[in-house]
Amino acid sequence: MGTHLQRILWFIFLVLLQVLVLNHVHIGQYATPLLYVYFILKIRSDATTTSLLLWGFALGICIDLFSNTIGLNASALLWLALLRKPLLRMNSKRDFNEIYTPSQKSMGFTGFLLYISIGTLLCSLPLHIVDNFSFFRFNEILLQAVSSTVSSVVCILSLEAIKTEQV
Amino acid sequence: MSYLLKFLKQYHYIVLFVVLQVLSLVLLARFNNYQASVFLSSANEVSGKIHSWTSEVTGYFGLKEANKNISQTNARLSAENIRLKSIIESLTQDSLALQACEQATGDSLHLILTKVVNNSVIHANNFITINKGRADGIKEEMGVISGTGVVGIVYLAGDHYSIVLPILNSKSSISCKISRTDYFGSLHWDGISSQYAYIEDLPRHAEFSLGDSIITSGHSTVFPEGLHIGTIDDMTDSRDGQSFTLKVKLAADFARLRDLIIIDNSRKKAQRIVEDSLKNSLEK
Repeated sequence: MGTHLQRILWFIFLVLLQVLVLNHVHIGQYATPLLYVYFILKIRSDATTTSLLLWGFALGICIDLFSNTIGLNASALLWLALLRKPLLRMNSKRDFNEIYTPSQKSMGFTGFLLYISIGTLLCSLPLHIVDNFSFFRFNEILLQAVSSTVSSVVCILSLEAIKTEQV
Repeated sequence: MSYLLKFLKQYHYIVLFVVLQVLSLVLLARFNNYQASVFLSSANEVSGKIHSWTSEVTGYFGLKEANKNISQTNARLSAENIRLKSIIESLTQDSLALQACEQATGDSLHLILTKVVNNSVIHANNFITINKGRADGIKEEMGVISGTGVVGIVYLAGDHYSIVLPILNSKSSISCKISRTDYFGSLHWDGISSQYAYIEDLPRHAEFSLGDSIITSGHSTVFPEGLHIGTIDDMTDSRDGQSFTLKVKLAADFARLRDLIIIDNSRKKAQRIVEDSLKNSLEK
């Protein structure tokens, strides 16, 4: 996801897909796929945390505009944006200074899978905690976060497979 | 001091993170209080338009079911209309009185039809977006019902789209009563199932049976008396053991809402304001 134009097109596509389709998909009344996380996960490895934070905030606010939850998704994505750099470094076998786009090819399947799973969980857990606004029924919140993560990872892997085949 | 500056220089993004995080949480908290946030909500024109296009497309998939519901509601309402007309006629043989009665009820209630453009049942606080706004006469705190039961109250009104606070929201509180025995209470949602809500603090001497219908009490100016909300499904003791908690099965199917009716009770509100001010001036 290199050029600005590509990024903006992906941004609009992922926001519309999430808001018009995926926000209405509730698997077993709990899991909602969070495909928009794909945008933050796929930004090139040399992006500064500052730019990640700003993109994450913008993406979160756009999703919130359509869902009557102003600030919720923005606050959750900020956690992922903050912790993406160390997360990427943990899971990639690449050198410190190499510039690459996180994908199955550049990180190996296990590394990539761990990266997107933990990344999505870093967004989904704060999202559900703030949505419920209490730690009272934490088991349910945890279940919601984990099931949303699993369904999001499946969607991200599928999108990744389609994209690679096209290129 | 220089260590602090060095730390800030290296980790300047943490400052940005804290600022943006505080901003998001403030926005989240303020949306629940600040009525003029219509701009940032889905009542915004752009998101409203996109949602109405998609719901127009998806609406076609549910037409058969919607038509069936409409014919059933029609049949029920026609039967009730005939029954009520015959009751009024038997009570008053004077046709002038009948006309005056019909006019009186017709004048104070104005109904606006609207369509659901965005809905959710999965969150702890759900909202419904509808395709009518201030330009169509919608104002905050108007009651909203569907063909089968009470849905909620208008929360924010934009120019062409509005947001409804449904029963499935922790802030919702609808004044209701048991239709057979007139005992009243407040209906709240517990955040778990989209089909049930609860009336707490029902007095222990209240008479009711399972299956009794719950209707609006008419105590607030939002809903007129007698609108169907649901039926009593279960009864338990309340937490302090001093009263009953009723589990009500909601009549409106919140997961499949399409066409809603907004009740403009503004004449009754104006009437009540005049009555209240007259009462106050007499008491002085």
